[in-house]
Amino acid sequence: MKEDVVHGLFYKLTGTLYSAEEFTSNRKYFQNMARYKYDGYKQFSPGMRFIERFALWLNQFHNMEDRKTALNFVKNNLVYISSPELDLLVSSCFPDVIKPILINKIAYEENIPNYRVNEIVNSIEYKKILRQSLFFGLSDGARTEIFRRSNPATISHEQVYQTYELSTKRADKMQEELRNDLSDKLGRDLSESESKFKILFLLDDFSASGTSYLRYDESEGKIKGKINALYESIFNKTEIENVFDTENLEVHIILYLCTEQAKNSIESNFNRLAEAHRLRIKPKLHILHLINNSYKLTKENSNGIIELCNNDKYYDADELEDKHTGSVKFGFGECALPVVLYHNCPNNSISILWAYENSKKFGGLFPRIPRHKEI
Amino acid sequence: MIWENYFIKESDEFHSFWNEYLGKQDRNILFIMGMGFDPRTNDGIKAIYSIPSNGLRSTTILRYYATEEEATVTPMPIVQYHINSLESFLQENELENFKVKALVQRSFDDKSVASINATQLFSYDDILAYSDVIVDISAMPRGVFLPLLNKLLFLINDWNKQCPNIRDKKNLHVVVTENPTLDSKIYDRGEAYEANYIHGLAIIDTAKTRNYEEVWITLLGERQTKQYETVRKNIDPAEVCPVLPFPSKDMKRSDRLIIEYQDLLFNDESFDAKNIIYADEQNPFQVYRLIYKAIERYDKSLKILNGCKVIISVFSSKLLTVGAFLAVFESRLEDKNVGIKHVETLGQELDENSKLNLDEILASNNLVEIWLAGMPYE
Amino acid sequence: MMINPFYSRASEYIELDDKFLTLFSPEILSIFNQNSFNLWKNINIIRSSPGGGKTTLLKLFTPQVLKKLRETKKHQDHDREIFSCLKNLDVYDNEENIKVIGTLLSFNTEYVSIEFLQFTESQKIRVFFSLVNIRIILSVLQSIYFLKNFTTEEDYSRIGIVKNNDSLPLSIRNISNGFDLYQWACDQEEFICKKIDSVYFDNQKIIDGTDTLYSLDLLANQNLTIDGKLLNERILIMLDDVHNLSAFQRQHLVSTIIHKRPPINIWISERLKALTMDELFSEGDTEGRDMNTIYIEKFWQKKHGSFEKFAKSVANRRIATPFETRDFASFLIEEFEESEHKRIKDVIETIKERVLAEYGTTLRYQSWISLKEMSENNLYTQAIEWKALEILLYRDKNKTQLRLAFDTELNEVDLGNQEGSDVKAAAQLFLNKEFKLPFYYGIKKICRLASFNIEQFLSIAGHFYEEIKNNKIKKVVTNGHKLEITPERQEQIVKYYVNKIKWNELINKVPNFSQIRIFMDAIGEYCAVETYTPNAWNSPGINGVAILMSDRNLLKNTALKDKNHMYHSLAKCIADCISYNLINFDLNYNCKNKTWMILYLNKVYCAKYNLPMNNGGFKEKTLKDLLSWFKNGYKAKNTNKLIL
Repeated sequence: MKEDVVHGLFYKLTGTLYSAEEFTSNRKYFQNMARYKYDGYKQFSPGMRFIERFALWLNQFHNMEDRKTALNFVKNNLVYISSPELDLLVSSCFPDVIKPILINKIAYEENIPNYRVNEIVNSIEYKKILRQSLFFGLSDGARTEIFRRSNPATISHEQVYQTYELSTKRADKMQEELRNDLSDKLGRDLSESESKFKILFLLDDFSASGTSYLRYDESEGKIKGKINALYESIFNKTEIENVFDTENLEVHIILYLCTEQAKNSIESNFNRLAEAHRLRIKPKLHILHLINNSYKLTKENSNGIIELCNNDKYYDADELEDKHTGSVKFGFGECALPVVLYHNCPNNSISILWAYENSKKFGGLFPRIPRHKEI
Repeated sequence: MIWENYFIKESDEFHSFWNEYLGKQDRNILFIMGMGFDPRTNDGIKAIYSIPSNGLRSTTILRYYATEEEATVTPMPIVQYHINSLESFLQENELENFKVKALVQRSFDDKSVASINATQLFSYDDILAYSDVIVDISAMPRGVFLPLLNKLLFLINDWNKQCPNIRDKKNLHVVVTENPTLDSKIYDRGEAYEANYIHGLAIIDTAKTRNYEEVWITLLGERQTKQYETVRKNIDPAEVCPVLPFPSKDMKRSDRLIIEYQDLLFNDESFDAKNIIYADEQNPFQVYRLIYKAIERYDKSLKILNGCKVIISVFSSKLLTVGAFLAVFESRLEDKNVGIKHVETLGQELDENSKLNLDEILASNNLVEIWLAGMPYE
Repeated sequence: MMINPFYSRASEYIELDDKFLTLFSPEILSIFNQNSFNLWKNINIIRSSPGGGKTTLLKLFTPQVLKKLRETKKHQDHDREIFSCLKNLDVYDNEENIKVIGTLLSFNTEYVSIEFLQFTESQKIRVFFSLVNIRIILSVLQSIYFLKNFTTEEDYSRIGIVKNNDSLPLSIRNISNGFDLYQWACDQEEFICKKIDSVYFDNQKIIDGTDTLYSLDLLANQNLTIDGKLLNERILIMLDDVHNLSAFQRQHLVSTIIHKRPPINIWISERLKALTMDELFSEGDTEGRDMNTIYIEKFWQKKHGSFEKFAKSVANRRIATPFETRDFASFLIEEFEESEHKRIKDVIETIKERVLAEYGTTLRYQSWISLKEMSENNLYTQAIEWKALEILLYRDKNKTQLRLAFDTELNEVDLGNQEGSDVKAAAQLFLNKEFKLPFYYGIKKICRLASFNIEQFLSIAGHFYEEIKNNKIKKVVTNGHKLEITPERQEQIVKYYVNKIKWNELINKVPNFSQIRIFMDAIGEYCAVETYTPNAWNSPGINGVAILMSDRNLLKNTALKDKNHMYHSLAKCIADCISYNLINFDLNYNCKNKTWMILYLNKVYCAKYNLPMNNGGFKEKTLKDLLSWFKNGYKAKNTNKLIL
């Protein structure tokens, strides 16, 4: 659609809400934000660009007041994480998060001051521990291919895996490669302990509630979630247990983006996890970009957007809910986030952002692709 | 890369680092700091000099003046208060009083002399007695601390190169009391009309390099569009590469900056959103790495034509500015044609309203230690 | 539609490509067509505020542009026009050969460093001159390279040097060809630049210096050959941005050049800002024998018409791509919309009622009033006429009261005599203030607002362009919506620009603006009070104040130099206002048997204080008045002033 026409739509829907100066300012704002970020949203239907989607979205609001509230929300509250931003988080993960973890470990173990960074990184102990580390993606969002590509010289291909599901066969293969690689580096055979993995880094892109990583199921009295599943697969299978230095195994969970809520929830379950698997060392959670609690939308901080979400006219319960979810007006887990990720809007954000495009009642500004399509 | 492995500590770790570092061995410290209206002026020195230790402890404060004339005027009450407070702190801790070095920023004919004067402030003789030079840049404008760090880094690197024993090598630390809320309450009052290279960090602009393509890497910050425009008009880059703060505590910060600069960016044919470099606002070594790599890449590609000149301009926070400086410093050592061009601020002041809840704002002060030269890098 | 052509790069920074000529407006060349002006005889000094268009002008004389122009003039009317202007200036001969080897040498701020390195005073100048000479040599050689279509550096060997003399540095006395000279200069340049920028100051002592500008002799066209033949073309060295030098360097450079009477042409271009405070108060005061001084804004000031033409042409060239053949001015309509008619009718009614109530029963005014009642002009003109009438009647009544001559009826001729354009202009301002009928609209006034500065014009025009964009969008929604901007919107945009954009810029840009602001506000408010008197005694109004030349001399010669002088801060404040282009001024203005310095508000701020934008309206003030304004602001006395 022609630029002028698209802006014409925008004008028709918002022109009368604002003074001439405000309209110019809004037009420039959204036009430039579209060029800068929003046009890059991956789930727009083919050919659709932000301004057109924005106009369609605004048009669904029944009165001018609501439309204005919605527009102001997008302008003032929406947090959009673009592809290059996420790329930065992935690519800085090793040099700025993982490396300091390794340096501190060696400093402690070898009794070298931790500021002697060059001495440590050039030491054989550092090289050893680096090779004895594994990097697992917890979902596709971990983008292990970018992680791998941005650290080509430091990490071997055989240390990075897209998933955390471990088969015996795979574990054996990993260990074999560790043995070959490391004995090459050291120029000698390895001891039993040297040929086991000592550190596990688990990577993922985003967590809003934390529940899929670690949660305690009251009814079953059991700890659940991906992290637990991983521990189970390592500690409960002897064949795999041999591949890891289970006694001293360090597990670091690294999330590119994570809310304060999720952080607290995950960390609060570490004790239970440690109990369940009789761990000597509890896992640690590292976050590249913390999403502060203040971003959670509330009546107080969002100038009417909560009321808008509460309005049933703008919420298609039939399309968005299923028997597990309950109401998702404010997103799954009531997270009430204003966050959009360029590849898909998280369903923990408020539903008016991500509601499926073909919802008859109300479609989102950055519609999600429904996971299970019903026919 | 000199700072591929780096050492940075903040908040609690800042204190535990210094406690341990000074507790384990006697260090002879020269503490260099700016003296101004900024409420963070004395935080760094108080934190470090409160730790008991036996080594030398000298202090040099920099007083800067917009003009020669200003140097004769009695200081503002708030500055005098900071001076008194430092004096009594040193006395209480039985430390020798500070030396004062004056630094005039503008000549009588209104030319920028800050960076030349800052480069001349210290020489070998000033640092010989010390094992550790600490520069607290919290209350220093970038037109002062950039040339100062450049000079000190040269002096210390050159010393360390010819010094065989690691025990005798000298260390250079930068200390910043970081506080974005406070930063946002400090306003520039008056800016220079011209863009200058920082002395010691100029591009070699000669007949031979005249046809080299220019690349402009610019760290955007709030309320600096005029300065941005002044530099932009002064150069003719083939590529404009803004650096935006991400991750940032304020997740809308990059968006707001893009909008603040929209007329300048989106009407500029040399700008493309793909050129944007994102860097963590808290980590100078990350932005160092990213800029260093960007320079390397442009240098390599544009060599195919004639060559390239990379101009860096910093309108952003102190932490990011230090990072950008490191990238320039190292690239210059490798004979790349890279420089820092900036527009000086003639004065700053604290927002009147923020004085009401100043204590609340200062509660989020965060001390950062950035180790630039010495033992980590040997 | 995406890019705002007024915000994209200022013309000074547009590379020497096709776009340069496309955006170049030949009107500016008229600054060379003044009487008794010999472009090629003298040293020319060109001054303006930032954005006055100096660099653009200079770039035109470089071989890259001149060669291009010779090509493109065949296809482009616009380029042909520039070409013929230049031909008249002897830049091309009849065979279309380029007669000038122009070279543009911009002074950046790096030269200033030399001034503050650890040198003795005489060394400083020697090093400075050394670099200037080398840069001039390189720059001229490169211009020859372009003009003579050289293809490789080896071609420099085609340049021969006729005679060397003793003033040259030892190392080049034996050089006889351009290639060796070029190589030598390149090496020297790099060497000096690196030394100057070094952080180790001892390093710098080894730079060779020189006391003379030997390059100006070396490069005279009588001293250069190409392929063995003497160079025909004149050499023109354009030293740009001389304001970037230190005062000492600038003064030394300029006086050395003037003294030397060099065998080549030299143009020196600089910003007003380069002038010392003292010179600021004197600009335009002196005209040396050895040089021409051109102050671009002052030149336009004498010729608004030409500036308007220039500005329009610049704007048209900018919008040429997005809107093809339309004139920028045509977007700024000057007629009121039909929807406004009702409002204007009400205005007329209000004034008419007032006039009838106050004067309707007086015989003396009968025919004037009925003349207006019969007017068939358009509504807005009628409104102006009624307001003008009200002003005139007020004046007459006050005068007549003294003479008690209410029985003589005034006739049409009297009205014609009194109702001049100034009263009408005042009437428009009054209508603006009382009824909010727009005043600041139309291309003429918009050009005025630019205060003869082309960058200021572009910046205002950029805001209008955004509005045209808005209208284009509205047109999509409402069929028949106009692209043009109504007078009312034009004024809103102007006010927004002045109050929100410009003013906020100053807060950051100007040191001690809070102090300067009080002074500016005082002048503005004072002028407004004097403008909006019911009798509009000084119609159309005033936008400046004047001080005696003797007071100006006191400020310049005594107050500025003495920190403890009672007028020191005031003098500095005025100098700052001038250097930041908030105030324009005229010297030696004769009025009431005295000579005055007039301080005018920059036109764009006239819109802030609702003042007229004409020149010449001012009121005399003492330094004491101004000092009290500077300290306490202006407080209107509650006298016979119109309260609206």
